[in-house]
Amino acid sequence: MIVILRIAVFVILALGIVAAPGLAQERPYFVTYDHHMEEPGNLEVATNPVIGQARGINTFIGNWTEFEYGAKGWWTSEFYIDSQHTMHDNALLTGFRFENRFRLLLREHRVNPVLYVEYEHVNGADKTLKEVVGFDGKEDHSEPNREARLEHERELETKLILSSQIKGWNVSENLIGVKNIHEGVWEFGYAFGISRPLALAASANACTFCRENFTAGVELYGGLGEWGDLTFKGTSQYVAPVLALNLPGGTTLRVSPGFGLTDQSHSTLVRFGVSHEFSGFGQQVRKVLRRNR
Amino acid sequence: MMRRHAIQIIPVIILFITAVYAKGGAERPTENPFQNNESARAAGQKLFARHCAECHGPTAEGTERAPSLREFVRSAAPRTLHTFIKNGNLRSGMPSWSRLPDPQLWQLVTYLQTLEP
Repeated sequence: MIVILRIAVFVILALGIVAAPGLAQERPYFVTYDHHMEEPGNLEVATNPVIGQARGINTFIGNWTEFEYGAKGWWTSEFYIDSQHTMHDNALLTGFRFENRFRLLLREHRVNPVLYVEYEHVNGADKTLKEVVGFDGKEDHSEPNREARLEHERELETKLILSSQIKGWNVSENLIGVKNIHEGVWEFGYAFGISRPLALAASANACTFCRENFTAGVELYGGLGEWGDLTFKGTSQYVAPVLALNLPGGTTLRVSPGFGLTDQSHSTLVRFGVSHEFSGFGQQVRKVLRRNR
Repeated sequence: MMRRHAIQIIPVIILFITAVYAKGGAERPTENPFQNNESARAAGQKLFARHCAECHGPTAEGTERAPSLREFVRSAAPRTLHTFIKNGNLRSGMPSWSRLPDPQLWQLVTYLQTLEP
């Protein structure tokens, strides 16, 4: 885990040399997606550890490191590397994910739909809990890493993201469908988030901790069963307040203490996030490539 | 038992909030509430430096990434500017800034309209 965090820090520093810091406003959610895309040509690098606790299983720290690139104004691509460390067990890389999000309507509407498609290749020891689907539960995380890592999952994940901006509030709903490419049935889940900046108007002075830089909200997420058995019964469900601070300079800090609502859920999932955005990354890379031709 | 009750509340909360915001409808820009407001102009300048200057240049004179805004903002009506910033032009690479609350969009408009051509 420490090695991965070191790599993430190194990558951030290296990128800082070739690209200027970007200054976007990031979503406060960890699980829920809204309709806002990465700015074209910008690269965001983030690391998102989650600490999970439940009775009967070892406490763990899952982590995903993400690279998010704005390919077009309507198209964002992301690459994730997942890892975890379990107390009284070992630390390991658990796989990767590649995702693409496409904004379906080019102008703002009351409800803005986004299509999300992801390919993931992770093993059974993955504990990032980036989404909860089907009958996922704490029991899935009770196996020792040496056994769980032998299960390989190649999955296709799709989401329909619906998101709205209403008088400063963001309201987002995600419907999630996941299918193991080789076997099994579709598993379903959902995420719902609502958030708002603490101040809608900006202050005239330069400031770091002024209210407009903070966004607070709450997200709800959980499983909805599987194809032929759509239900809340036997699923994991979570409620999680979220708080984000967008620092001037392109860095965003996020925190979210999540609480399990069902017997299958972890008791707590505490998430942290640090992200940094590099503006004009795509242009800089193109320049370097042109120079080397 | 308590947990079972908690889970039954989730769909009710989601339906309630969805109904409330669906009734609220989309925001329609009106006249600039910050017209000639010096404090809003300063806030708009700060927002411009934070979100726009990277592409349009520190004083909106344009860069290789995006054109100058100086001519355009002088001739455009405040409401047109507001709508343009909010929607962007996703095909041409101008991002949508709908993530910024309406008052911040108006502060940006206030600043942009004070730029000399």
